[in-house]
Amino acid sequence: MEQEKKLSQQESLHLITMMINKAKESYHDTGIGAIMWGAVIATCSLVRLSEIHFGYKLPFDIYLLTLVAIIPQILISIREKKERKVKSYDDPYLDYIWLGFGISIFLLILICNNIFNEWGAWTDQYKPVSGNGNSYGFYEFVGPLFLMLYGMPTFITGAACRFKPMLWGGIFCWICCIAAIYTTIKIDLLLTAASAVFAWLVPGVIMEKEYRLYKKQQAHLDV
Amino acid sequence: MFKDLDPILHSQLRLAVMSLLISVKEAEFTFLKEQTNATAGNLSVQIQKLKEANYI
Repeated sequence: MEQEKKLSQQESLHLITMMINKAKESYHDTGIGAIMWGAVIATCSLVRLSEIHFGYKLPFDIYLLTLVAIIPQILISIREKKERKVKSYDDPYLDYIWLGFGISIFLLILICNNIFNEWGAWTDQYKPVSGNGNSYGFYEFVGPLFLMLYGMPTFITGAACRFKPMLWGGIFCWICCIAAIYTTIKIDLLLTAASAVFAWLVPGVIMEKEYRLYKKQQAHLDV
Repeated sequence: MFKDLDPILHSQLRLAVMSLLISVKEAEFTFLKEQTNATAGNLSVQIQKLKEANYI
């Protein structure tokens, strides 16, 4: 680019627009985090579904996988931050939104476990009298709460990054949330798995493809 | 109407750098170099001028 070329008003405006667009296009997430969380949540939901459907129980809670996944997520975040050459104004806000989402999920699990223990004690007393009392009874109501939370940061990220697959993924979570209010726990788990796939796994794969393409173009420009 | 553009931004490269930086919070030197296709030396000089004018 020539350094001291005098520009006309039109040329200046054209250059400003072009550079602003270039800066916007330069933001590329690797998508690895989204792929990982989509796969983890879908796997957990489907394994729990098979436990209920086939009547077996793993020696550990499959949802512990979500805690294990925090470690690679931290490593991914550190690596992505190191590799990123540009920081947008939205970045810190999005980081806080996802951190807040993680804390909210943790609190919801804590609340649900607490209520479930109470509920279990209540159904144990109630069962001999009524003949009813399904130990999964409480979890029938929990699925939609998680889906409601899944939708929020996904929708906001999709809107902020102008990334439609994630925006629609967030909306899909809320549609599944509404459906899950009226369905049984097995369908709730299927809806949760589908939400994880459409809100994170699929957008993550698209992001990863775009990132690879961007890297390839950059490498081509450097040659 | 709009004010005239500051003469320091009449340079194509300096205007390009400012247009890039206005849309992001932080950017590395290599990013500016990639986007403007300028040489490192030239870019460095122009950034220094923008710094002296308190733009950066």
